[in-house]
Amino acid sequence: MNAETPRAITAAGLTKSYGRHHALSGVDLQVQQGEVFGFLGPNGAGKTTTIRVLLDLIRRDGGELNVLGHDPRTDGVRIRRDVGYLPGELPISSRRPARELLTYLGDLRGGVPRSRVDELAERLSLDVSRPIRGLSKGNKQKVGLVQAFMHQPRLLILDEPTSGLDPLLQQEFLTMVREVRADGRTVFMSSHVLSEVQDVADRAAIIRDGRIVATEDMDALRERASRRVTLRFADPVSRERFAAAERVRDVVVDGDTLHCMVDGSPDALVKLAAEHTVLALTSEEPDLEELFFTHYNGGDAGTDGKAGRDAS
Amino acid sequence: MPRNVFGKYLRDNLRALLGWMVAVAAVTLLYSAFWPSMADSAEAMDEFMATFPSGVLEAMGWQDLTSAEGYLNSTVFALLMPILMVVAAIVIGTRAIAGDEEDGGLELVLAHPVGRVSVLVQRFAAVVVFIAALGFASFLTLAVFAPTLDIDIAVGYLLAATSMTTLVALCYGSLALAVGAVTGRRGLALTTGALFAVIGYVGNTFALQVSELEWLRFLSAFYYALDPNPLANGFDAGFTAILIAVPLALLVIAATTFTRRDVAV
Repeated sequence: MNAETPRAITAAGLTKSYGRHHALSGVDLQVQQGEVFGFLGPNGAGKTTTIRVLLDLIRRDGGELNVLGHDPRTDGVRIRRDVGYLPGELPISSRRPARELLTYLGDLRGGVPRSRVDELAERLSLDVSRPIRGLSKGNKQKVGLVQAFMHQPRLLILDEPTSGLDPLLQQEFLTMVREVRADGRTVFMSSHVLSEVQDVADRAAIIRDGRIVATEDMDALRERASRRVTLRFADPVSRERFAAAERVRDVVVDGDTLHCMVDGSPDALVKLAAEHTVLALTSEEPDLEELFFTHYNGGDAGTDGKAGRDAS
Repeated sequence: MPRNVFGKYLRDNLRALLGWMVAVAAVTLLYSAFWPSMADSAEAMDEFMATFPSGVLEAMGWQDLTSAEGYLNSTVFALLMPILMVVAAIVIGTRAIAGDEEDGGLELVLAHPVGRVSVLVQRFAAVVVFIAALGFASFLTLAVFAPTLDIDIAVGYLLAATSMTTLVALCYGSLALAVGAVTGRRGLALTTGALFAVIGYVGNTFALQVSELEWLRFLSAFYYALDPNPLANGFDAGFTAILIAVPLALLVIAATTFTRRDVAV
């Protein structure tokens, strides 16, 4: 009943261990109400564990946690009433049609109008009359999205929401996320690749080895993101000129092909390249590991291996 | 459309239930259908049986084959029907929590505004209904065909006998469910249920021949169900209470642990 609780999620020092394996070693998060919050980290970093702690599927060993004004340990049912959750995988193998599962899950929440389910299914072009067992990964993901969005929850917790969706549906999904934000509701979405959240998130936290290593505005993060660019020219080019360009490093020229890393804006590189005839340009996704390596952890990033299992 | 965890679990397992019901009814009918011809050759059978040492007969669960009760006890209720029911119960009990958890379905349900105790109790209730339906299939088969097969046993006694076997299945099904709820491990739930069922079966048959192993029968649900001979005597209040108390106790143990542990790790 506290009118001035603008935070959807507040976590301080969350810890969780399985035997000697520390899945979470002090996670701090502040997610404001009405924002889209990206939760980034490599596989096995603790994203899914954190999400499961938020939902009270996993009990934290220590730390403070508040979700929508309550502690999941004591008020789990109450919190989950206002939360829509998309699991990292929806491996339901029922022979029953998707509609039955959606109706059932809606009933667990006291009922969701059929029209609402139909509307979402149509937007995602999902045929709800088909048995879940036969659905492709992408279609299962759509079922998961429909059940997460259908009751218009105050907080959406989405674990790797766009995996398996084709680009067109990813756009539709992002539109749905923006609508939720426009409604003043909150979205907390995890991903192991920056590009999945960079178009829609306001802020993002980066988790690594069970610890939050950075929480930043998306713009700042984008600014720092490094991507690997490959250019192929009609004629051989000089390495030196490109190596001298702003924000460009690790330049390798192999005849008419140039490989390099670009930190942040590729403006200087593009302008330089425009002096030549460009036959092809590829730009790889910014790599999160790369992001740590260059900006956060200095030397040790990537050396101690991704200990532990893939928790996503 | 199922509206709750209980209904949904039954709906998801309806095909399996119908399959098991047909199997249980078929086995019941198959054995009892031989009774008329067995009754005709009762004397020859008696002589044949007399050639065995008495220990062997007991070990095989064979009794007096010249009365309808003895025949049914030695065939329908001694072997295949209870084994079918127990196997079905262990399978459905394992799936209720641990199986669903390892498949990833439980995580989704528990992310909804439902309490863990509620989910556990509803799934348990569905398991009870599932097993009761199997017992009912066996009872119905016996009750319908008894008159035409010259089986002269009152319906109430048939009900008592099939109910006791149903409770045996429920004991082992509850054990599988409880182990699954405590550990979340499908394999462990399945093997624990099966192990105790085998111990229970052996404990009430072969182990009776070895005096050092006689105590085993007290661990056997089969002992509490079959020893009072419900086909001849009807329900035994004390032993029936034990067979009801065991699943309930297992449910309580499961609930206390299931609410505390991590799910889907």
